[in-house]
Amino acid sequence: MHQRQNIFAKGAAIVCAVFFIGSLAVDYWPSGSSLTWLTLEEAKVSARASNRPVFLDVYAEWCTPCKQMDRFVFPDDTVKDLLTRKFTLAKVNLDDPVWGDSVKKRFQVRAIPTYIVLSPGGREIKRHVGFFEKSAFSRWLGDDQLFILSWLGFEKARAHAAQLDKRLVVLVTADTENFEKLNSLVEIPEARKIIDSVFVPTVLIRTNASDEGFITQLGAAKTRMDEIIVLDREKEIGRFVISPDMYFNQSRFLQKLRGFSGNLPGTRRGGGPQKRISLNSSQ
Amino acid sequence: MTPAFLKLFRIEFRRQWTITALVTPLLFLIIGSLIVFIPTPYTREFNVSQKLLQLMGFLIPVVSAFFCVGLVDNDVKDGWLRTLLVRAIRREEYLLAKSLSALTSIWVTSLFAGTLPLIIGLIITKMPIEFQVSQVLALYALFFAISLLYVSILVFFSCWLPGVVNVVALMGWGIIASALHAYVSFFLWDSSWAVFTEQFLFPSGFFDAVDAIQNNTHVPYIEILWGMASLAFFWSLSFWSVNRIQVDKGSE
Amino acid sequence: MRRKKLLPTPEILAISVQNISKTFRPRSKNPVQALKNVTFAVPKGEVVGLIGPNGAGKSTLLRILLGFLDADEGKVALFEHDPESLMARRLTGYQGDSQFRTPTLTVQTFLELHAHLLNLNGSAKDNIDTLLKEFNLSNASNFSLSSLSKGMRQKLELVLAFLGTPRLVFLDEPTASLDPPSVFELRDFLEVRKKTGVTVFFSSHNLSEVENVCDRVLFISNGAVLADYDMKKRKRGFLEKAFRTHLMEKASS
Repeated sequence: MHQRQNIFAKGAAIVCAVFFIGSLAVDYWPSGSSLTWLTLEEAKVSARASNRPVFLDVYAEWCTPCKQMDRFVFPDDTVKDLLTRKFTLAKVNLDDPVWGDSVKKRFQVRAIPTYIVLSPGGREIKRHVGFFEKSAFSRWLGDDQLFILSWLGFEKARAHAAQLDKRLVVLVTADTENFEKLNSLVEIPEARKIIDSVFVPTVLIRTNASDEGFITQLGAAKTRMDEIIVLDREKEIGRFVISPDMYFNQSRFLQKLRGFSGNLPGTRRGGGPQKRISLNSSQ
Repeated sequence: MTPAFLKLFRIEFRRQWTITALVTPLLFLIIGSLIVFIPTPYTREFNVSQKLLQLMGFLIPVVSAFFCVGLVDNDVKDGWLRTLLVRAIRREEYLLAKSLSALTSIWVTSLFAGTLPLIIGLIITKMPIEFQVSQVLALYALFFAISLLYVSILVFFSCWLPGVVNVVALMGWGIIASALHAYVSFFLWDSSWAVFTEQFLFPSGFFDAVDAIQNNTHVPYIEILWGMASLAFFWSLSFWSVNRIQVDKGSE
Repeated sequence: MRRKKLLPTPEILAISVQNISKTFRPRSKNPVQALKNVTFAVPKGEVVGLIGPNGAGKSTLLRILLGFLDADEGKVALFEHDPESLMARRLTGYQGDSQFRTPTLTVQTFLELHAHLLNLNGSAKDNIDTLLKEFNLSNASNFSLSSLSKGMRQKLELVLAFLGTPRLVFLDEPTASLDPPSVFELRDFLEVRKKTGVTVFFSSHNLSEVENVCDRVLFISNGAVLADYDMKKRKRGFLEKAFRTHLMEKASS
């Protein structure tokens, strides 16, 4: 035996090789989910026909959280049941030479995996980016009860506001990733009361092609910040950005909202300087 | 007959506990207490796993650095290793004893400074307590594995770098890897080669496993396997290195 | 009946050195050849001294013999084993110049560790006590290592070198930091140990010590062994003359 004998070094190298091969094997082992995935175009056609929303999974073969979703979340019975029952399923590989880039630009995908729910008409309803834990994912899939999801589209909301002589509150957001957080703000009892009594709420999403024109006309900021614009009889009476601290300090959000609620319908004056906005139909 | 490395381990452990080292656990206990007791805004419950993550996330790297500064290089410089290697002891046994003593010191200090404030916090808190035993035990096990990883890397560096440079090198490596990770996440998230390469910039298997356990996302089998592979890799490098270094660099 | 003729078994050499060379390559300077084709052998039981001027290669040779430094070429064997083999280590003792900076270990604990590593077990305490007494360190057994004076450190190294029953001991300048009484103690100690058949190889600048103790002396200069003197028949003062002769030859060449 020699002082410089590499017994432990060799042993550790063998252990390293075993674990390395083991991790590769487990990582690349086919995950065997029995869900049927369509291309986006096929799914849109199917969704319109069946009047079911589309669940779109934007992924890549080399994306670790995507593989973790395939391995741990999609095979779950509750998740599988919700997905197959409620949605038309579509998958787009980011590296796909035909669809990858166009989907990335169209939906402004900034990370993978990105899961987007589209209405049967193709409007983005909600999205989630990154790994989604099983129970939270099931809740997200099953939850149609978000207050924000019940809001009318822009044109319908505008007409409705004119009919009821109420103010139009427009939430402009980059995409639906923050919908749950935004919903938590507008669902504060006092906020809900104000919105129900004084406003007709609507939402414009930058990733929806049909909303682009209105967003431009409203002059919404080109940043990714969520913004609230308040219109009274087609005139802007004010706007504010929903800053991150408002989620913790909700009184600030309420204060802003109250500031634009002014008096009850019939005696509407108050809020900031008014600007007439020329709003054409969507292009 | 007691193996040579166990005899050596006892001596190495005693060598580490100088007067300065005895004061260190108390210092870390104060810092640990600050981490536990200073309330963070918007906290509505005493989440044991979260507090443990904050405590150990700070203690393990700092205490590892403290006990592993110049671990091998100092022994070469002051002739301790040369004196030992006159005896029938393999170099790998010396390294094993050295590493084991460092690890024991790290864990004695971390458990003392990490667990005590947590227990006191649990007793005196008025907030509702969130405590999942399996999650906490899993986190302890993972932090133990992380300390093994830090020791293996610091020992490897100490075979080739002088004095405190082994700790500086590890810190620098960690900072650069974090910066590159952030860069890839923001700007190159859609590039397969960047994402693939970035995984190998730093052995992050155990850290990813901690995230998975903490956020209850999934059982991190793959992350743990990766972590074990990187751990074994650095131990292999360390043992190989100690067999290569000259214990007496001098010439006339 | 035919008797088989038994071939004489070659005697196992304590030290066998064949053609070793070593060159140092410092970063900003020219390479320095410290040893050039050094060859010699030391049979068991011999006390061999190594002398030479500063920079001759004495320490380098010693480090290579102990396996602390790798030679660029050549072979070294201690009792036919590689110097770094565990077998060679069990048979070898070494006195060097360690710093012993550890404040938390005492002399006694330190020696007990080495005794454990030598598997002395039960006889360890007696062995340690005897050696401490022989080197006048009994009162220092509870001193911390870092508090020892230079001379006490040297003596501790000598105790370490002779701990257990080494068959081969390397000494590197054993009298360098010792006071005269300690030098006499060491001389007497070596005389006694010689009779037990232990092989001693020591490097020293103290020519009178070398003359008093050694059976053989190797003279090394500029990395080469220039002379191998049998000291049994030499008179006192021989080494000084030999040294001066070599120096004059070197100056004239």
